[in-house]
Amino acid sequence: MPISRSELINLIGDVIFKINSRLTDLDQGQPDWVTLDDLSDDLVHYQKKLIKVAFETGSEDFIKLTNALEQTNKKIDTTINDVTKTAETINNIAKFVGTVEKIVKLVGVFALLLQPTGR
Amino acid sequence: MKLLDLTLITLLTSTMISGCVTPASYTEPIARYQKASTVVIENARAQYTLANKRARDAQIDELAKNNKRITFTELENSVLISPEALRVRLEALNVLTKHGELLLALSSSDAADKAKTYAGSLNESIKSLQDAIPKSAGVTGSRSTESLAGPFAELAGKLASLAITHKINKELEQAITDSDQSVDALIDSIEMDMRNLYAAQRSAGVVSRRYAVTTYNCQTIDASCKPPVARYSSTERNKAISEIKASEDQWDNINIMSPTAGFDAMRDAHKELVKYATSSKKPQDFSELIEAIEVFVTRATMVADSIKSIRTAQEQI
Repeated sequence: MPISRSELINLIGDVIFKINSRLTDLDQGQPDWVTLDDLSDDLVHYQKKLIKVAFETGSEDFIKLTNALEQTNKKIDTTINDVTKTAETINNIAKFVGTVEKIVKLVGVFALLLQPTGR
Repeated sequence: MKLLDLTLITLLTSTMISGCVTPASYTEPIARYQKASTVVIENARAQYTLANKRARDAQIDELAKNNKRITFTELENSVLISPEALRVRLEALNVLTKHGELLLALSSSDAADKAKTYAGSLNESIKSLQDAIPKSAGVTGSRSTESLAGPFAELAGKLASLAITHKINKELEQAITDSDQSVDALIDSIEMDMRNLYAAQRSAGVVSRRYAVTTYNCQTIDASCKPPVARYSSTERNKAISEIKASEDQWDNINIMSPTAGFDAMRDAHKELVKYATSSKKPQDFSELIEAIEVFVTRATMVADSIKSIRTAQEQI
């Protein structure tokens, strides 16, 4: 069963929450903080774009990408609260953002995208 | 016992005692259905407005954080739902209400006279909706409210014209049945809009909550922020703490919001209206209809309370 548009939007929202929660443990301006802050901006931006388009969710590619997204989210959960695994957490979040970007391209809103303002 | 329960019992009892449903029996349900629908529409308006405000505020915060120029274009692009798209949704809900009122009026034994007035009112709403659809560049896609509202308006228009020309017959019954699925799809799409906008509000709230603590955290003993943050004066410190508290209150408000409240009850009430309009109209059918409308009214009362919370949240932001 593919995840619905709302479930995808909520999943992205959950990761935005996790990143921002983690950011409050870090010092502003430090390299990890900057990377996570940028990744949060990107996700907020993509989430907004996905809200503006009522897309179909049944294609094989969509299912493949959203399955990958759910798997990466599980990996994020295993390290997000472990301060010794920040690098791994950042890698997984970056992978998550990359997959969201692919979904955004797949559902056809990429041409409409403006660059996130944080970059 | 609640006033609502008493009304329900009175309506059901009077129907059962008389054994038949008189034209007057429909006056009260129409009024109650209308009132509950108004509350749901008002809730939708409040949610949409708040979603846009949060998105715009988040954009301002982000631009300011990155020392970027704040332009009108940036601010206008930040809204999640344009005024035109918002109009389509509110007009669609309005047409749904008028559609429901007409179905109720058609069920009355003096339907021909009564229905004409309600059909005229439905036609007016359909015109407004049809006028709004082409102007909206809101949510796009085949399952968007914009794409579903047009076909629904056509079906509702057919129903209205049959009612106006006093064609209370099989053709009318078919028009009612045809509109049923279209109503469900339309309510579903508006409900999904609300749910998604809420997700965006929540994300904006999370980021805003984090912004509120970031500078304060740089003041703590072991912090090493870049660039270093100047030490707060005691006044600045108190101000920062107050902002954190306010941000946490806003977060609580977001979490108690119920973005789709009332829509499920509106859908059920509408379904019951269609069922009744195409039934043999026995007292039992009428009792079920009244019950569905009362559930809708009860939910709408809860929605009205939620609107108060949303307004309070808006005032605090």
